[in-house]
Amino acid sequence: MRKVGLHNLALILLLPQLPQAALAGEESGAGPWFINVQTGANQGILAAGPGYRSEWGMELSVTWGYSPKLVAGYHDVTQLNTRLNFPIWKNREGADNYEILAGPSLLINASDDTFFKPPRPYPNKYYPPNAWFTSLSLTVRHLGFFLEVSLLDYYMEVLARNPAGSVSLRDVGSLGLGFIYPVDWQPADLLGLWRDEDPTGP
Amino acid sequence: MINKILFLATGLMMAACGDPSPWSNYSSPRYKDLTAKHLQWLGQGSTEFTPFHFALIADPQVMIGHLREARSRVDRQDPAFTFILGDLTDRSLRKEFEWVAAEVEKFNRPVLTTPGNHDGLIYGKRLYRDMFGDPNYAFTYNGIRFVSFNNNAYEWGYPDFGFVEAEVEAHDNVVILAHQAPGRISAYPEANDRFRAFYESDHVLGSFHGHTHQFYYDEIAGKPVFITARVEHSRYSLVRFTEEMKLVIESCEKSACTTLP
Repeated sequence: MRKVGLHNLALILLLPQLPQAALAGEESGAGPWFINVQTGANQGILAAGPGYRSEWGMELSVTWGYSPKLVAGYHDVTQLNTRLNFPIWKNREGADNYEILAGPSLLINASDDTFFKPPRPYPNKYYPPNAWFTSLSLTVRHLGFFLEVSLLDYYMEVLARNPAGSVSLRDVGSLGLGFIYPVDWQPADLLGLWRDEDPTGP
Repeated sequence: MINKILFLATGLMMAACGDPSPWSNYSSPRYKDLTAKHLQWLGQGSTEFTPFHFALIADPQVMIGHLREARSRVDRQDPAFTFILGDLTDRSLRKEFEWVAAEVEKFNRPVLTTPGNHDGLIYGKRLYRDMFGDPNYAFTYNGIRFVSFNNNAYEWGYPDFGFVEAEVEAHDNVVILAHQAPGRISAYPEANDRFRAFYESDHVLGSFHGHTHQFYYDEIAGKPVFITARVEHSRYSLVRFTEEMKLVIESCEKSACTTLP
């Protein structure tokens, strides 16, 4: 109950942003850069970070995910998520603006509790690494905010190695909710900022 | 507008499903102290020895669907209890522990567990203790003393041999249940020798294990040392105590059982 309650609290905190996100979505032609904010879908209780959308709709986003100890359990969990999304279907006309996207993610949690290689007494590959997972996700987006279902690579193995129907998507899926917020920002702007702060001056 | 509200409402409901992160490490309040709960359910049986049988399942890691299928087959055998011999999980993920805990709650008769090496990674040790209980514990049923021995030396720390020694000294008819069989404990060879020494005691009747994923029967000092195969393809074992307190072991795959050795 504690997890579900606080997970929903994270959603409630996101809600005031949604109208703005919806407006931003309607102006999605503003530029290729956006900020992605979400909860769940294997990315953490709260995940946020920048993203870039190419002209033909492919999106690359990097988020920093955080699940505080209060919600995560015994330890805080911080993770770095990189997601590549490909457009599958879209209807980008006014209020009926819907998009369906799908793609892989790389989730990394480098901590004292996780490992990239098995501990020394064991041969390589005895234990699969638990410091990173890959996942596949399917996203339905409407006016900037979105629902996402994400499936870890390991859970795909679980689905594949068990009798058909004995493991359901509900057992293995992680669902999330979030929004993207287009920003009028270019990498050159950042370079400009650095130039302005150059103590040597012109 | 209605579309937007429905979209948002559906999202809110769905977003509560699944773990928000693969590394979520809270233990579900639905599954707390399952060992104590199931021991209370089992009771102590009769005060004097009475023949009975129990079931063994091993290594459900990754194979949660196979565990679900095995449960219905084991229930048909009506054992006094079922013992899961470790590696409840493959990666020690919270979700994996919860899958097994949910199945444990669905058996017709009590289910007890001992942890495996795969259960002691990342947050597994705390998750196991919260959801199931202390990995070293003992109980008496129908005059037989069953000892769950956590002998996964590398992942959980050096095994508590003193606990087993005390149980063997204090009770006449002892059955040891541990994930790794004598001779199979990784990283600490001397631990295997200490484990083998228990079988010299007249009090020890035999031991049961998982870990290697194949059925395997051996004897040490004339006592059975039996490894149950991984639960894949509904494999499990039945152990029957005869009137003479002899152990009769059957290895089963689906509905076909073979008596060993």
